[in-house]
Amino acid sequence: MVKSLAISLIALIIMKDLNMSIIGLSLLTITSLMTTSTAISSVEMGGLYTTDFVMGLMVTLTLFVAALSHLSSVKTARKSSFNLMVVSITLILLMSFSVSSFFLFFFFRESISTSAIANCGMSMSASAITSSGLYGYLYCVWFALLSMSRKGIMCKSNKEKNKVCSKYSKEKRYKTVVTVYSGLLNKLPMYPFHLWLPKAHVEAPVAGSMLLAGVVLKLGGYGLLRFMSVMQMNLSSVFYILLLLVNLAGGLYAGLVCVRQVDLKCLVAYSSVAHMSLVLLGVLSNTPVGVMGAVIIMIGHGLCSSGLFSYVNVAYKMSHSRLLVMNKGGLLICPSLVLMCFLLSSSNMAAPPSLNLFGEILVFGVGGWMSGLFLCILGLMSFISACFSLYLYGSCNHGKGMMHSESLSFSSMCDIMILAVHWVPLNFLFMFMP
Amino acid sequence: MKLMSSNLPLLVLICSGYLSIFTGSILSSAYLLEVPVWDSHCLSFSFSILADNVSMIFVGTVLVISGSVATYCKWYMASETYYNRFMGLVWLFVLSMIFMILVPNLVMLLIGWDGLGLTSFLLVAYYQNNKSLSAAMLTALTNRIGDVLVLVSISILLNEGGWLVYSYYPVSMWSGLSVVVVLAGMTKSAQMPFCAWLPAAMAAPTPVSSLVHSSTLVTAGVYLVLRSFYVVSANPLATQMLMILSLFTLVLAGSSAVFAFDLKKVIALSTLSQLSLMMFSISILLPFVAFFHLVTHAVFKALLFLGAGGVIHSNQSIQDIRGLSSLWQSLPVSMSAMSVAIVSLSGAPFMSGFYSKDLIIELSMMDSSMTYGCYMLELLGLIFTSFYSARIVFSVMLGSNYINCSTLRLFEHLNMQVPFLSLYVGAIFLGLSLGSTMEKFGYVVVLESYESLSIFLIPFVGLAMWWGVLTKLGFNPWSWTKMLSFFLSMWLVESLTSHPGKTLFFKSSLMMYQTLDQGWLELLGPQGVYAKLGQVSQLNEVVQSNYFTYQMVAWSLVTIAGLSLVVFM
Repeated sequence: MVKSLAISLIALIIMKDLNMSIIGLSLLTITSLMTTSTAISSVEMGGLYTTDFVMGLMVTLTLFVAALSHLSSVKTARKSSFNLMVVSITLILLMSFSVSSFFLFFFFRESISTSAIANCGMSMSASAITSSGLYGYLYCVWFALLSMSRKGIMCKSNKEKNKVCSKYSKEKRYKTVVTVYSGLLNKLPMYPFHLWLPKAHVEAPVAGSMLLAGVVLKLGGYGLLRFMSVMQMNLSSVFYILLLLVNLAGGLYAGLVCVRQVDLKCLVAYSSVAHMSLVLLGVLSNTPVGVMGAVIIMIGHGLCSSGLFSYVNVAYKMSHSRLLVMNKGGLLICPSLVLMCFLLSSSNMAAPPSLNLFGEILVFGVGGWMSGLFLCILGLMSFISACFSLYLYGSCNHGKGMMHSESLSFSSMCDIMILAVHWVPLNFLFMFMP
Repeated sequence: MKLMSSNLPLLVLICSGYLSIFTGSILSSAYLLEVPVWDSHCLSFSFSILADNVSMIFVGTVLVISGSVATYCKWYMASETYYNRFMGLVWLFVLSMIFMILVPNLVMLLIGWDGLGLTSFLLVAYYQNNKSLSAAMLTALTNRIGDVLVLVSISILLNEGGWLVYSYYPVSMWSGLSVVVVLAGMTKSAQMPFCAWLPAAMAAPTPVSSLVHSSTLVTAGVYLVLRSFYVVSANPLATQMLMILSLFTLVLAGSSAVFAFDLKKVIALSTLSQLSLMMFSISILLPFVAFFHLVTHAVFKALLFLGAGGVIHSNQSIQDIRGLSSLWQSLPVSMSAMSVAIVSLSGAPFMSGFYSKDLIIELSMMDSSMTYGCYMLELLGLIFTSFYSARIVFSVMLGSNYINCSTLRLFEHLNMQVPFLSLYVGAIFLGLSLGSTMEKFGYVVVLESYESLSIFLIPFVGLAMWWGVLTKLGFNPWSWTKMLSFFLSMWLVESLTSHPGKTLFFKSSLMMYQTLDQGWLELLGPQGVYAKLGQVSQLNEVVQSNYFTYQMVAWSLVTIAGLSLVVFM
């Protein structure tokens, strides 16, 4: 893991032409994903960093997705500033996953939103910046303010700030939970706080989308997971039950809304919202099986949604449109791309042996253990995920091609390889999970 | 000779299939191979393979059918541009079917179970038109319901601590598991509420219909239910539900097949009725008899479908029964294969379909739990079977319709005849050879002689009805237009089950999107906040622009208040 990190830094800083080193890096990170995931013990380094297997997985996922997002935007304009942006986002993400203090975690987590907005703005016009910036700020900053203020109070009142092993006094626990959760749930995003996500995706360039869906969304789940491990919470409180119900209903609604989308990126973004509610259920169940399921779904979803955004980008390059009606008949144009699209969208609907299915089985088990009602809702969500995944595949790739575009540009081998590299760990990593 | 050498791997496959059936029928012990895959906390998943006589016989049957179909595809899909892609999908399908049969572990079973749904989605959507896409969607989503139900039963079993649902004796288990498993089997086997997809899936190429939607995919549901028989039979509610719904499907499918005009649809509906017969025999606690019928049915139905495919392909893709006539002259080998399959289907004595069907009827006659009504429904369904079989024989093979004046010289390729031959053997002898194996399970039939004679006569009742109704009485049920539309739409099943679901789905999703995502959430969230902030800043602007006036008014008010206080105190 350390080796691959060092190599990635060397490759990104020293070498000018990054593509070859990045292909090597992505292979290294796959092996690293396998090895870190077997390390169960947790190691604290100098009071600043903590490593355990969740952190190791998240860090490797970040490196992996960052490498692939760089590869999928090789031909960007303003190359150097773009590279700077991607590298800075990656570094901030790495920091926020690996620091052991809650305060620093929140600090880095919030600095992501700034650089993400800058990233969104890179390729867009001024009006686009205003709308996505408005949404991003209104959601992220407002809730961040709430949780940061609470963090400050916590840091003052508590001596221990470590996110792995601190304990809480009972007073003000309720307020702490509500405020900190609101910040994290917004990042996740949970259903009522999700409006910023499709808008940010629509306006971000492909690398931004891949990083956002693949890694940034995991910050919320990761933070919740850490927070749950130190926070003693009354599992029969009204807040908790309400949170679970809103979360599951929200996942269902997000899935339903998916089939009404006309924009490919919006569709994939809403499908992330639907999947994130499974993560939240796993984390909130506060059982080893549920937490394991949540981590596995996070990894699986990170790979899968990043791959789907990459696919959307390839489709965009071919048809010059992200609209569903303008992307038809892919099978006639580029069969290998269609194969990758099918593999990724079937993994998105949790087909075996993907990590999504593995995590879904665990979360289903926990949901059934919690309540029969949850099991019913989870079943419906799983069904709807099949609906929108097959909708995505069928509407893009089946039928006669749209002949609106006079000069079709074909996808390159590199694009297909990027999609394949997303799919391979997604479907074979289950063997290496601890 | 050249043809033989190019088909050698497939012929070896067929032979190994028959070998596997033979091995399975003499196998007396079961072998379970288990490899742990994931182990954590108190939970472990392992990959396991079960080889006993049931799974060996079924795998053998799948191999025989898939080898025959692959040989047949060389002729049928010869002009297909993407032949390799097509065959790749077919082999993927066969692989996931074999996984489904051999893996008894419910978690790892999902590999085959989900894989069947996904590959059949791709195979049904193989032709690039809207009809096949919508049929594929219907197929995949109905199968997805089954996947979800398997996930739910995994979740229930998670609290029990074991995944081998096949050898699971329920002790403290929540008895809902039986209902869930039965429902999961019913989605794959297209029983009553989920039966709209099976006729729709005929949009696939005919060899696929032969392999997928008659002999393998649809029997996966039956296989799951019969394997997890101990769980299913633990709950009388589950078996009662299965019995009622399967008998209902039997009558529905039989009556619709009598009225359907599309040759492929008639055969699809007959598959449906045979599946419901298997489900019925499970529901009266006869899982091994159901398995016996499953195997014999798979072979003769594949043969029937291949014959029908030959008919359709040789007649410029005409599928309408009214347009096909006297094919025994032009396609003698196909027609003899088809007639064997049909005779076996209708359960005529000493064909392989006879042994299995006969056993089901006899044992259901002996079953005391069956009511008289159920028994009548069963007999009605069986009579329908022989009626539509007679209809296929008399119109497609022997009939002389005047619509089709084909002047083509039809030719039967060797690649078409070899699979016929291999399945032919199965359709005739499999019942006899497996029947002796079934005796090992100890089913003893005790019936009066007139009862067994009546069973003997059932196949001929339909024939007699066909003869009597059409020829002697001149009575034509296909002229009643209102009834015809009712039966052609399979008792309106699509408008009753899948259409309302679809409408509800899309309406609710539109409602969600408009009222929540574009409505309330925007109003309470960004847009509303933006508007409110704008209003506040406008107010501020007004206040600040008239700063002096407001200041004056405020101060004068304060002064007046102070003065009045001073004065009145």
